[in-house]
Amino acid sequence: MKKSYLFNLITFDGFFDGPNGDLSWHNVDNEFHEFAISQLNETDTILFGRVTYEMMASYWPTETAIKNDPIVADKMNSLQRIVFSKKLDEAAWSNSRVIKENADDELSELKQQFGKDIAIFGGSNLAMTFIQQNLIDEYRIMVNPVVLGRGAPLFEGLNCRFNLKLLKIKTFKSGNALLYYKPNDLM
Amino acid sequence: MLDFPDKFNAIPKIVFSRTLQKAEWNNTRLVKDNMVAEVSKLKQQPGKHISAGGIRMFQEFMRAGLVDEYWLTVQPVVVGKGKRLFGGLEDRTNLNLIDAKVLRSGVVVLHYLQTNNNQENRH
Repeated sequence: MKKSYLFNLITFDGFFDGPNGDLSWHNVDNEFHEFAISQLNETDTILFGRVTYEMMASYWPTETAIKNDPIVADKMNSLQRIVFSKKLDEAAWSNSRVIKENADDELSELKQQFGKDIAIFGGSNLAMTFIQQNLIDEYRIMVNPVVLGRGAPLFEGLNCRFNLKLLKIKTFKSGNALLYYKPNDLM
Repeated sequence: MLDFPDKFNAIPKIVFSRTLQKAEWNNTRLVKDNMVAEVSKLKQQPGKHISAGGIRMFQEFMRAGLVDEYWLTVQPVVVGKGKRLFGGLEDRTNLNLIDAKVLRSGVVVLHYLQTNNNQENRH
């Protein structure tokens, strides 16, 4: 069975998105890129909500991305990707497919297959659908060393409370702290 | 663990309040205004660290540039709703992570220092 993981960058004060979508606080350096590559090496499917998909689709296929960040760009452009959206009709980015409904069924089916991990990037709404259906096997939350003061909190409006089990942490020279959890129980 | 209450009762405490009439807890002093000036003065003195909790008060200290270190304990639970850590800070503050500890309970303790490059962000 495949494992699904949610990967999110958040601030010290718990925001995953700054005011007006400001992500300039993302604290990325060479060590982050090395980590991103090793994470993608263990991943064969990426799931997005529409907003994150559009953001990534407008960056990774470009020449800038391929020049500045060839290894990650190659992976991001070649791995199987699924975007969940009612609005989007087709996904122009190579190797992507649009699922309009029943995101949870799709993920349940994917998880039955054999292969590498399934990554869920960004998309708080999409993530919350999966969380509520208990479909996420691992949470990887990277706390960036910045207090933003304002923004969108991770998992805002989630209608369930649940405990996590801490698996491990990894700290980066940049000051990021990556916390790995698995769900304990849904309450 | 057992001597925590003794330590906590004995340590000098300051409560900032305009409404409280008196502070009866052992070794507690009530300060009614000029919170920032009071803390600036305290920081000039020699001695051990000054610990501050309370979110509204803490934000005042952050705005005044009085906070040197931050300790964040992350509990292994998702609640979805509730009070935010800080509400209504206007400026971004960059921090330096200096230590990360894992407790057996699954709590992660992150220890940060204030960086010096935040002045440009202050109005």
